[in-house]
Parts: sequence; C-alpha cells; structure tokens
Amino acid sequence: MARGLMTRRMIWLSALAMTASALPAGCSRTVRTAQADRAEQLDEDTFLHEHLPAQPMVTTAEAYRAMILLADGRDECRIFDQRAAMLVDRGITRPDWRLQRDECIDRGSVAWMVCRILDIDGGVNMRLLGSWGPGDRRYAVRELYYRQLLDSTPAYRYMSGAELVDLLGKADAYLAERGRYPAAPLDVVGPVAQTRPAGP
Amino acid sequence: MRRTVATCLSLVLILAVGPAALGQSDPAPEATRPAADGEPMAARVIRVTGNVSHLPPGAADAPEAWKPAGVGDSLPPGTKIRTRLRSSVVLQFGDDTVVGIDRVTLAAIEDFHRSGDTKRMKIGLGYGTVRAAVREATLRSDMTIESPTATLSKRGTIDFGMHYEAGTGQFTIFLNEEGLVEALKFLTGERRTVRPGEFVTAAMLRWVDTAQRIRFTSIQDRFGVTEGEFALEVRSGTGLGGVAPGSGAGTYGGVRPAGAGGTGGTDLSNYRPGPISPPTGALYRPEGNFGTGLVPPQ
Repeated sequence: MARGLMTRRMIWLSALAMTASALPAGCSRTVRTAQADRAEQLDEDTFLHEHLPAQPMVTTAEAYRAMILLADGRDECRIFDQRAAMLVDRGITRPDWRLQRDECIDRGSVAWMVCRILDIDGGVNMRLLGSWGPGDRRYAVRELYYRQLLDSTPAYRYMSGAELVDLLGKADAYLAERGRYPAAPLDVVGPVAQTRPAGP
Repeated sequence: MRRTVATCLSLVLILAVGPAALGQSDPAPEATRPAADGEPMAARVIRVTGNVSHLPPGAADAPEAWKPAGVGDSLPPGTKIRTRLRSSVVLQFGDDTVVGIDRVTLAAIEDFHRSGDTKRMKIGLGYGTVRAAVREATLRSDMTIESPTATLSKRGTIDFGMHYEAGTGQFTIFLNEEGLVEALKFLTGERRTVRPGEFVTAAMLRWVDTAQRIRFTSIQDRFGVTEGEFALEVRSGTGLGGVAPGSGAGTYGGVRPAGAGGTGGTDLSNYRPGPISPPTGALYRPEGNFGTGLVPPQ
C-alpha cells in the first residue's frame, strides 16, 4: 500500500519537474539579430523582393518596416526605434506586446497591425474583447482569413517572409479597391483595344 | 521558397538582345515591324505607375543592376521585372498583345520570338499577379504564363491572368472577358479549361464545383416561405438571410391569410404577368423560343 503511494508520488513529481523545465523553453522566442540588422540596411526593392522572400521567419524589425511600407507606400525611417515609435503613435502596434527588434514575430501580431492599417474593426468578439486585449491577435487572423487575405493557420505561429510578401500584395490591393490612395486599376483591355489593327 | 523562385527564373531564356529600342513618340511603325523567323523581339513599356524596376538579361542580380522602368523602354527576352507596393507596369508585345504586371510582383520575360506565322511569348511569374490581353491579328499568338506550381496557356483571349503566392503555393488563374484559357498544374498534371467569367485555383476544381461553393444562398426557413419568396431569395438573396431578405425587394401578390392552409407569407396566386416586350434585336427561332414567351411580330 505504502509502496504504491510512493510510486504515485514519484510519477507526480516527475511530471511536475518536466512541466517546470519545459515552461521557460516554451516561452522563449527565436532571435535573429543578423537578419534584423541586414533588413535595416537594404533599399526598399531589395528588402521586398530579395530579402523577405528568402526568410523562413520574419523578425519584428522586418515586420515593422513592411507595415510602414503598406501604410504609406514608402519608408523614410532609418532605424527600428523610429519605426516602432511611429507605429505606436498611429495605433498600428501595441506597446503592451513588448515586441523586441530581433525576435521573430508571430502571425497574430502581423495580422493585428494589418487590420489597423486596413481599418478592419472586425465582428462582435473582436470589438468587445480584442479591442482591449484578450484574443486580439487571434481575432485579427480570423478576420483576415475571412477576407481571404491570410490563410487559417494559428496566430501564434511564426510568419515566413514569403507569406508576408503575399499578405502585403493582397492588403495593398484591398487599400486600392477602397480608395485609400489614388490608384487606377490595372487595365490591359483598354491598351490592347488601342493597338493598331494588323494590316490585310 | 527562394529555391523555387530561382528555379522558375532559371528557366529564363537568355536570348540575344532584341532589335533597337522602339521610339516612344510614334512607336507603331517599329512595334508592327515584322520580325524575321526565329528572331527575338522586345516588349515595350507603355505605362508605369509607382516604382517599377527591371534587370536586363545577363546582368548580375545586384541591387545597382536593377534599373527603373520608364515609358518607351525596350525589354528583350530574359528581362526580370519587379514592382513595389502601389505600383504596376503595362507592357506591349508586338502590335496585338498587352501584359500588365500588378503590385508586389516578380516576373520575367522568358521568351518572345516569332516562329513561322506564330508569335511565342512566355512570362515567368515568381509571385504576384500578371494580366494580359491578346487581340486577333495576322500572326497567331502563343502565350504562356508560368509559375513554380502552375502554368497557364492562352488561346487567343482578352483579360486573362494568373495570381501566384510564393508563401503558400496557392494560385488563381482567371479569364475575365473573352476567349479560352487552359490551366495546367505541374504537381499533379491536372488540366482545366477556363472560360470567360471563370477562374480556377490550386484545388483545380471544375467550374461547376467552384461555382457551387462561391454562390451562397441563405434560406432561413424553407418550410415557412412560399414558392414566390423562395424564388425571390434565390434570385436576390445577399447571404444576409433574415437581416436583408430579398435585398429589399418584395414579392408580388397579396398576403396569404393566416390559419389553416396559409403560412402568413405572400404568394403568387393573384399575380398575372403582363405582356412581355421582346428586347431590341431579339431573334425569333423557327423551332420555337423554348418557353421564353417571345412571340414573333405579326
């Protein structure tokens, strides 16, 4: 009887120890300092078309730069702190998240920033709960999924650079379709109608 | 991903630089100049919005090698093109083909030459959106848009294109106006024909299956509505159901009485359609008009 109780206690203690040791590992984030450094030194074209598509995970520095490009069409900031201050001032990111420059960013945070830029307020849950914190990033992913701007993978997953480029393109089209900046739709029918008919 | 894009772009056929740059002020004579058999031709930039750059064929892929695109630029086969956010470019291939490269796109002119009485064009798409229109001319046009997972073959069409996402491998091939397009998925070898107004995605569903999924009709209570209301919902429903029944439109006829035999809804029992006025230019077929009510004028 006492032996069985002892065995059960040992199992419980082992499980507790394993859980305690796993918690810090689960909370740690991937850091990519060199990648973030390089992203700040590149011109916009190289950043968008060569650097980002090659990254398996995007850092906060890269995501912030991409968000400013999406919101303004150009990025005149030089360093991460300028971009962070600008995004916080405009309510595009939340200081409560304590995102660090070199850490890889999750899809939920990116989705929330895109929702802010696109003026997507979401549904009842996102307005009631997400507006002050709980589930904000998860609701943002669901909202972008609903609008076919993002796929439905979890909000806590890291975002790849190619995914970010795809999202930027679709979000930019979303802005243009709603007249958020002056843009004429890409027209190929008009120009081809104006081409000179071939001779007999 | 970078490898797939590189694989796509490595297919670029680096042909000899095309004929002299085409004049901007009066490009028609140069644009319509017939090319000799097998001679490479060059596309011409006819419209630029925002920031668009191109990399000449054979140039090392260094940031300083990319040049901003301007109206009138001549782009021979092997040229890579990229567009930023809020940017696009329209290219003219000869005198009958126009290709538009939309925002956040990496593409390449892989091939553009004349072979016999056929003009062959091939656009490589790393990611983003490419649209095109081809008018019928004396030369036959054979055009292909190719991405790492799918290819689109054109069969003489107006306003068709492909959107490809490098991050997920998803694509959409569409045809807006007229003609016929064939889509081929490399991974599975599946082929689909796309007709005007249709599109096909990476799922490669037939249009009849795709259409069933994108046309949603909300019927709140099938047994509590009359046939007229049901028909109205199907025809005018917005998907909002009871919030906006029939998009604000109403059914004809009086209110069906409540109680036994009545549902409290409206019905069409008192509705008698008026005479049908045939549309201008209506054709009267000798074998009948298939119940459309059109009667030949006496």
